[in-house]
Amino acid sequence: MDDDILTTLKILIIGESGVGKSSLLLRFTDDLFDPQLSATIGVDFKVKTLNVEGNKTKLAIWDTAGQERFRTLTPSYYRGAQGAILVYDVSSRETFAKLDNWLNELETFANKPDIVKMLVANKIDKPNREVTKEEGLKFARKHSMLFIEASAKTKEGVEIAFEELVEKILQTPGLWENRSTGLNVTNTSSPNQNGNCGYC
Amino acid sequence: MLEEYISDADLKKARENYGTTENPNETQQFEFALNLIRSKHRAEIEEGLYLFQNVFARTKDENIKRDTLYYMAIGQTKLSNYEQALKFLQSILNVQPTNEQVRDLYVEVNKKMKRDGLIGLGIVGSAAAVGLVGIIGLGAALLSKK
Repeated sequence: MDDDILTTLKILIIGESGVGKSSLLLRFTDDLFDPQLSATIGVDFKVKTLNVEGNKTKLAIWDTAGQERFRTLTPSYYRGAQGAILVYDVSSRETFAKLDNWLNELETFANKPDIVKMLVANKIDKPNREVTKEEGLKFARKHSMLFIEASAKTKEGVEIAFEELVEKILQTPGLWENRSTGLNVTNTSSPNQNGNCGYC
Repeated sequence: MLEEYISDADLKKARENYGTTENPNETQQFEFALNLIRSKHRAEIEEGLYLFQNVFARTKDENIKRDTLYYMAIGQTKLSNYEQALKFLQSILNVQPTNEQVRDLYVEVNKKMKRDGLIGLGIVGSAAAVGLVGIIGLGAALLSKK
């Protein structure tokens, strides 16, 4: 069933607590929105298969809580990630100001130098906006990130954010070719085709 | 989290660190317990569960209580104590019935429990099948004698 999957990608979602990281994930994976979503316990993890330009890609998406007691999980959380989604809440300037800290953490722990970054400005459905689109765009450009405005509540921008991120990762060969499951699958299945199967 | 492991070297470092901490506070206890249940070794997972129980008993913070129950459920699942794991998860769900993350883990643990149960049944099932074939064989033998 998984034979036609091109590759598996590890994607992280980071940002201040309450900006809607889990809500974006839940909207993307299950097309649901829960305004009362409980705070994430440590690290949560969801899998979704995405079709990008005919390439079936399996996404392992990691979502995180920010509390100090989970700091010990940080290195393993970042390890091997090919993509990162940085989220802020357009109705809270503070969450925008803290993006620098998250970028620092990403640079410290992410071990793939070409990791693709996407900045998501969430909660654009809210009337009390504190951060303009231009500010978000400027910040994203400055740090060579993709940028999109979104709302997990109304769905706007959510799917496209993940799709664009994956597209960019697939266009960055160094990020996934070496260790892609796609290549591993080909390598392990070819002996079978040659009739060298141990069970035959 | 069920398939994520800490390396022995990292756990050793965490243990040394924890050992030199005088009167560890609940966050430090929690962190070390979390490292212990990420181990591949049964004894260390058990040690982590014991430490989590201490944190649970000691803390007045409802969020830490919830997080402790969640990770105790993961530890118990790793030890194949599924019923205990489900009990911990159920006690979170009693307070937060719509917690997606906890519900997901509940479903996963339930699946694991059933799968393990089926493996048990599989053995019994094939033994029964062998018995049945034997009886049919005996019947066929008796019939052919007539």
